[in-house]
Amino acid sequence: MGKHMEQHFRDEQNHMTTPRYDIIVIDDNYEQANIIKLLVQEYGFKANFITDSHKAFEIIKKEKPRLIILDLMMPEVDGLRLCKMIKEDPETADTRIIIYSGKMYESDRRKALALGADLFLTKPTRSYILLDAIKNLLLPTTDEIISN
Amino acid sequence: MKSFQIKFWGVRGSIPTPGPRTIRYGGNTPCLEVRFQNGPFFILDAGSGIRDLGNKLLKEKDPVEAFIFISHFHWDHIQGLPFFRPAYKPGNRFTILGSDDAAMALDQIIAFQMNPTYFPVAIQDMRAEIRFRSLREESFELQGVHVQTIYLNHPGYALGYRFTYRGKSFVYFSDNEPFQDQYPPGTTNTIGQHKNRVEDLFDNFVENKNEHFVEFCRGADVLIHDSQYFPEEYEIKQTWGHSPFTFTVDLAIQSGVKHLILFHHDPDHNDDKVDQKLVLAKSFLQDRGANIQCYAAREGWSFVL
Repeated sequence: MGKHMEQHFRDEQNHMTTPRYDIIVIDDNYEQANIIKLLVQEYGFKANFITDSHKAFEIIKKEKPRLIILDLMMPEVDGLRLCKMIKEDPETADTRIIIYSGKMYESDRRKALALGADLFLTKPTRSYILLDAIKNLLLPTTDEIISN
Repeated sequence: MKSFQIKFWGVRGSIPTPGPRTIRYGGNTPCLEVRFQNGPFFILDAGSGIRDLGNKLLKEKDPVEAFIFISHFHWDHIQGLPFFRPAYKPGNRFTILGSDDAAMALDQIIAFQMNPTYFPVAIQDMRAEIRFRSLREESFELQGVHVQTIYLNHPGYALGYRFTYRGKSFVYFSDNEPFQDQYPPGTTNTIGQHKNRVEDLFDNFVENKNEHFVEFCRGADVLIHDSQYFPEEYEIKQTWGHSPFTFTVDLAIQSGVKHLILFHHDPDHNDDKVDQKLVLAKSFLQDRGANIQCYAAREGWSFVL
């Protein structure tokens, strides 16, 4: 195997095993989605966003981010349906999901958690609350660090 | 009839409330009959009011054909469907439209309430031709009527509808609550104390989601909207999925509608209380200088436009 080919293979492998993004935001409001992306990038997470929920599942399957911040009321495919699709697909089932929506109903929260979401936050929230939630879901715990 | 006629067969929210205390406004749960001049026949919601509507249709039409729009699937909006006699008659044709749920499709949701545990007659026993059409936020034409939908702020999947026919339009928001713009209670406001500007940007960003409702209703001839509570009741019933009539009045003013119909009356409100709500709503409109005709929906009442 030539040097270039070896490098190419390693790159491919890296791309396959290391996701390009830690976090993908799915929200049909461009400004909201962009602000969340900028916030998490500030804290070192590789992030991007999608405003067209119709394309979201396909992109999530391809990119395999570690965490998704997901709006609920979106015109094409709503957040709960996306959450269900992501959690039912073995390729994406491990993805962490934070629902971040204007809806404030306990029944919606329960439904989202039953469909596999990790957390339900109502808009608006404080930046430190969202960041703490992300850190709790993505950063290894002390026990995990010790055991590794 | 000029463009369309809306007849109210059920105006009560949550649960049927028959009896002397509701005799003027009526105790049936939501159901509206909508006739478009030389156009299709629509039914909005299938609360207990649809039973009497069905009996009337059987005397009037053969076959009966209708599009039945369901706002959402809480009991008060579907509980009348098993008692809608035209659905059992071969030759009649219905299309039921509404949102799917995340975990269940529209046809499954409708069939589920006729599961033998809850009701002795199955949906398969309905001998009329019944089709289902799942909706999301979208707009489409249906036999000359332009239909537009929007997700409302209510638990689960509730749709609001705007119907436009021959230049006239009406909006139906049966169950809707204003979005809140408050930060979680007990959290610290740290705006201006962050090291990073982007945190201030995030903490300052509050999307005005109620503005979407205003845009959706803008310029409609008629707005039929959830007005379940008085403001003092709403203070303790926030997050129950319904509006104080003051929000409804604000929405009507902001969106510039011509007629406002207060709908989805609280089951604990007797006729006098609904009268009182209407008087207050009219005085709010007057105080704001708004030239909007305001009514409280009443069973058996027809509105013609």
